[in-house]
Order: sequence, then structure tokens, then C-alpha cells
Amino acid sequence: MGVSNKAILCVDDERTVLLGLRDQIAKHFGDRYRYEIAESVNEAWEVIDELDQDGVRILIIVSDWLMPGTRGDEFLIQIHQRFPSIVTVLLTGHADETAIERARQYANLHAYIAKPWSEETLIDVIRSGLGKLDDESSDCLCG
Amino acid sequence: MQSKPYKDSILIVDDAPNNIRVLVELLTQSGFQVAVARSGEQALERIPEATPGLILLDILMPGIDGFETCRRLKANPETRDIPIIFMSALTDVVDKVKGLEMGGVDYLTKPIVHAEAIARINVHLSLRQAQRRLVQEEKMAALGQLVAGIAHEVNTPLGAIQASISNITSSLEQTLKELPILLPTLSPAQQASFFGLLDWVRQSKVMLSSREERQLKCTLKQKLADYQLPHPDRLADTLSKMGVTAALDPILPLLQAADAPAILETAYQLSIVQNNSRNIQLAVERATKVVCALKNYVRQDMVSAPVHAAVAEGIDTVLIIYQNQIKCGIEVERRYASLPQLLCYPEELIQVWFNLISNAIQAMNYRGKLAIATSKQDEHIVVQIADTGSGISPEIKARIFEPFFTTKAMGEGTGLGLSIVNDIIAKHHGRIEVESTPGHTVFRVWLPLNFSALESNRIRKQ
Ligand SMILES: Nc1ncnc2c1ncn2[C@@H]1O[C@H](COP(=O)(O)OP(=O)(O)OP(=O)(O)O)[C@@H](O)[C@H]1O
Ligand SMILES: [Mg+2]
Repeated sequence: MGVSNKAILCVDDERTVLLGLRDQIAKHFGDRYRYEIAESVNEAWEVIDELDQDGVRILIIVSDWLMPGTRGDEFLIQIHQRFPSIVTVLLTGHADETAIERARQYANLHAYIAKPWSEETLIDVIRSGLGKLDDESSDCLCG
Repeated sequence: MQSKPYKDSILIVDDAPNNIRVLVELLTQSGFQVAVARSGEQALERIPEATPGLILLDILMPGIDGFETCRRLKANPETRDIPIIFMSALTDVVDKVKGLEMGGVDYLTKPIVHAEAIARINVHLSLRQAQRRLVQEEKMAALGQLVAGIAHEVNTPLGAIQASISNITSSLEQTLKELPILLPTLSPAQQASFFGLLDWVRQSKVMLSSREERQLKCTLKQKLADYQLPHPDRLADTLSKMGVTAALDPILPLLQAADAPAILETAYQLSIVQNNSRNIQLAVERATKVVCALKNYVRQDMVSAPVHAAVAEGIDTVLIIYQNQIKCGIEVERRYASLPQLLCYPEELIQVWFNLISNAIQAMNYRGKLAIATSKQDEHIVVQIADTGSGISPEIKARIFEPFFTTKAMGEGTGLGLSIVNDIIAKHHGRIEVESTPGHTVFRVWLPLNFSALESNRIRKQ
């Protein structure tokens, strides 16, 4: 069995959140994807570049909103400009309406999840995000 | 705001029994609670025990006169805010002016005209109350701004806890199915290394970054291949997820088992239980800190005795409350010396740090460097708060501690922050200095370590 060349990336400045998230997502999707975590936007870009070099495709990014340096909505907008096919999800403890609106408009935000989140919501959002990819993209996930 | 009954009490300080009788009658009829002191000395003795809402102070008295009594009341941070109305038969303008200069709020000429006296007293009582309410409202407004940020601070650990619980539940469910079947198939040596592995995972507090995990996986794969073990890929995958950076020798018996991948998978599930439990603990600590910080901030105006406390803790409380506004654009440098505890009013000091830090953040427009340092100098604890903000121009530097002095837009600042800071520091017998050039502003607070000696000195002097 080879290691998947498709990844789900979680970005949050809080390690406890990252660990919880990663284990949660891994539990549901098993070996199908790689689960990457980054503690800051800078680290996220590093991970993205590395994965890019290794030929791994990031399908979904789940990002916190309030982080040092760049905010989640700005980050997702930048992501969308460079990788328009990546599905973007905001996860935040505090809903800033304008930021969410901005992300909807400029980052094609797939969903916004409020902290504390329920596992069901998170998994549904990721699943529907992946589903959206299947519909849109030509390279199919079968096989 | 409900005013406490004693706040509406009035203390008459006069040596003439006749005057006292007339005033007591008048004031009682008008619904005030009245207390009497027959000399300046007696007044100074009594006031700390039962703080009146207002003082009617005769000027000419044997012993210390009204002016001196007033001076001493104004010198004490605890009594300086009580409004004082001077009374005297002196109609001399010079005396009226002197009384007002000494900090009196008004002047009544004897013989006292009843209606006028009551009207003036009422005006000053309600002014005082309005002022107190304003200070309170200011604090509440600041609190309101913080609530949104704090929602994030609390929801984040809550989210982590919720996720971790669901992870623990499913991992437990899975291992409970597998473990009873798996364990009997393991030799004693294999069992020992199974539990050894779990111990190792529990004790290693590090959480690897994705990149470290990937590098670890590569290294592990190589090592496993060197040992000529089957399934190096799957084993490396599971081991790296568990963050196993230790030598592989102790778990070799396990890795050599025929169903090593399944065994490791079970160990991994158990490590999820361990890691997520620790995660919950961390998250609870985080949430507790935030809640404590909030409680510290709101607890206030309690007439309490000073206690020994660590100054740095109060500063950290404020930094926790402000975490959100700080973390996006402000670099915080904390240099705390190891210091003795300080006898102080910790909640009030928190307000000092709160105001100084929020001023600094605002002056930097939420971007820049906030440097906080504590040290011990000349039997004082010195707290220094520096920012890289706009700075304070020389023209206004002398005025910033005045109540209601602000350069901020309407609704942004009331200008009460630094005057509150000043009062609280005075209460601690400390002092505050400020140095500022554009791009570098430092507030330095000096708090004496011999608070109790200074305090008893003050009381003796009265
Ligand atoms: N660190 C600082 N850098 C630059 N200016 C400052 C700084 N701290 C205080 N000031 C100046 O001093 C003034 C008075 O500060 P103060 O804290 O008393 O009131 P405020 O901040 O304006 O309002 P409030 O604290 O009530 O919200 C400020 O308006 C600002 O002009
Ligand atoms: Mg202020």
C-alpha cells in the first residue's frame, strides 16, 4: 500500500486544536489521504510548497481565522488565487461576519465551522467539499 | 448603580456645639445620615473606619485647622476623593480661594442658609456619584470589547476538548475489540515491548510538525529496511504517527511479529487515547486561564486588605485577556526578573497593567513590539512597559494623567485610563514615569517593597 498523494491540511495556531482535528479527520478517512498540520500561515505555506514538490495534491484546507500574522480569511484568499481548486473551510471561535463574507466572495469559501465544532459537522463539511471536487475535477478518485 | 447607604452619610467637623446641633438637625431632617467629629484630629481618626460620602469642614478649630485637615485627607489616596465643603464665618475671599485650592469642592458661609446648604450638598453628592458611575461604565465598556475576543479564547479549547473526546471514544471502541484478541497472541517479551512503547509515547511530550513527521517516516522506513523487516512502509507510517523517535531495539520483538502492522495499529489507537487525554488537559488549562483572567479583571473595588502577590502574574492576566488583539500584529517580549512577592492590591494593579498595555496597543495601532520587563531597584519593584507606537508629544505629556484628557476619538477613549492608573499607584505609595519619543514610549511603574511600613507611617502621621 502506498502513501496517498492527496492531502488534507489543517491550520491553527493552537496545537490542541490541530491534534484533535487531525485525529478526527484521520479516523474517518483513513489511508485515503495524508493529514497535514501547520501551526501558522507561514508554516502552512512551507507545507504547501513541500507537498507541491513531492507531487502531493492538497484537496482541502481547514483554517482557523484568528492567528498571528495573517488572518484565516486573507490566507484562504491567497490560497484561492494560487490554487483555485483547493476547497477552503474556515474554523473559528469567533465569527467575524465581514471576514466570512470576504472569504465567501474571494476564496470561494466552502463552509464556515464555529468552534466548538461537532465531529459530524466537520466530517460532513469535508465530505461535501471532497464531493464538490469529484464533480468538478476531471481526474477521478477511483482506482 | 446602587449607592451604599454610608456613601450618603455626611461628616460634620466643627468644634462649636451650637453649629453642630443646627447642622445635625437640618441634615437629619433632609434624610442624611450624620456623623460628627469635634476636631480635625478626631475626623482624621474616624474617616478611615467609616468613610462618609461628604465632609462639612469648619476652618477655624483648635488643634489642626480645617485647611490642614483637608490637606491630610487629600494626601491619602483612600480619602482624597471624598468631597469636602468648607464652612466658616470668614467671608474673606482669600480664604474661600484657599479652601478651593486645597481641594475643597465648595464653601458655605456661616450663618448657614438651610436651603442653600442642602442644595449644595446634593449637587456634590450626585457629582461624586456620577463620577464613580463613569469610571465603572468605562470599565464595563472595555470589558464589552473584550468579550468577543474572549469568546474565541474559550471556544478554541472547547473545540479541542470536544474533538479529543470523540477521538478517545472511537479509539477506545476499536481497541476494546482488538486488544483482548491480540494480547494473548503476544509473547511476554512482545507484551513488554508493547507496553514499553505506549509508555514511551505517553512520556514524550513533543508533538511533531508535519514536516518532522514526514522526515521521521523516511528515517524509520530506512531503519526498518535495515532490520530487514516486512512491511517497512506501513510500520513506518504508524510509528511516525505515534512520533516514535527513540531507538527501535526495544520494540524489535514487536516489529518482528507476523501481524506487526495490526499490533502497531492497536498501539497507535491507544496512543490516540493517551494523546487526546493530554490534549484535553492542556485545553482545560487554557480555558481555566482565560476564565481566571476575566475574573481577576472584573473583581474590583472590593475594600480588602492588601495581600502578597506576584506582580508578573497580574501582567500575564492582562496579556491573556488581550491575547487576541496582541497575537495578530504585536510581538510581545517579556523579561521578568525573579522577584519577591509584593504586598499590594492585586486586582487594582491588574487595572494598572490593563490600562498601560491597552494604551500601548492602541498607540501602536495593533502593530509593533510590546516589551514588558520587571526588575528590583532600590527596594522597589519596577515594571516597565514599552511600545513602538506613535509616542507622546512634549506638549501633552504633562496632561496625560489628568482625568478625561484624551487624544482619542469620541467613543474610543474617555481619558480616564491613566488617571485611574495614577490613583492606584498612589495607593501603593509608588510612582509612575514616562519617557517618549516617536516610535518608543516607556511607562515605568515603581512599587515600594516596604508597603506596610509606609502604610503604618501614613496612618501614624494623620
Ligand atoms: N503608550 C502611549 N503612547 C502614546 N500615547 C499615549 C500612551 N499612553 C497614553 N497616551 C496618551 O495619553 C492619553 C491619555 O491616556 P488615558 O489612558 O488616560 O486615556 P485614553 O487612553 O485616551 O482613554 P481610555 O483609557 O479611557 O480609554 C491618550 O489619549 C494618549 O494620547
Ligand atoms: Mg487608555
